[in-house]
Amino acid sequence: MNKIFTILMMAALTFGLALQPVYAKDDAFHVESGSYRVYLGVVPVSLLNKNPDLVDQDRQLHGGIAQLPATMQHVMVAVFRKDNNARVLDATVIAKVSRGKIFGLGGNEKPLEKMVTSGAVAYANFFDMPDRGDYRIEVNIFESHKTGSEKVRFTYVKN
Amino acid sequence: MARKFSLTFIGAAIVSSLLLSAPSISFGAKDKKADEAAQTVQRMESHWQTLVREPDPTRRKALIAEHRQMMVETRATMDVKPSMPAGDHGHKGMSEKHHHHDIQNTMELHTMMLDLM
Repeated sequence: MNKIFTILMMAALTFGLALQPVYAKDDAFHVESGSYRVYLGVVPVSLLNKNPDLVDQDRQLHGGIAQLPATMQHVMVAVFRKDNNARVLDATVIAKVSRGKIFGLGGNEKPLEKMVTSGAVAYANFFDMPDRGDYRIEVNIFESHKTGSEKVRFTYVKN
Repeated sequence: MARKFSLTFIGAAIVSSLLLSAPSISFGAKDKKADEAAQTVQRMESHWQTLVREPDPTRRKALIAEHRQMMVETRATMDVKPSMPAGDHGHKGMSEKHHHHDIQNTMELHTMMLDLM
């Protein structure tokens, strides 16, 4: 009898927990890691009209936008410090875009290049997203004065 | 007996749900402004998605103008200044400050993307 009661109580607690609101959103465009707030922007290359300035002014933005296929997306992230909301200006940022259901499997990995637009620094590169549906975007942030890196993950739904 | 078990189950479920939701109810009541700020970010993100997914160039142009206007109005109503340093939020609570940063940072990113379009 006690056993049944315990099982019932456990089931009831689980049911109660399931009634709680879910705050985490799959399609959030900003996420936090231990030290950073990271904001994601994705724009189809067909909508870009202007070349942003790379911090290294000798180079064209990620190789230039002229010859890119229409399925290419401009993936841009802005990184801020969590403690004081200062923009992170000198990080190495690597992004991996994949269609797999599980983060970390397969995908296209590239460094995001530091660029300046509207006087602000962000990190960006082009990624091919040929199909509609969910894409996983993993962003790995390295800073020279820190050991290791911090990773954040987004789910982007391409229509 | 079965009725007793069902009543126990329903009772425990309601009690656990209420107990666990109490902090979020309390948080929501105390931090209405933070909630409004979170909704503003969500509204802006949603409008942005409509904008980048709009296939018609004329309609998209209108949406871009609408988005710029939305950012101007948000800056005015939420008292968010561009590149507001962390210490400039005066009396705002931690959660409200956090959401103000979200609004500010989201608007900055949208401005950058708009400038490329």
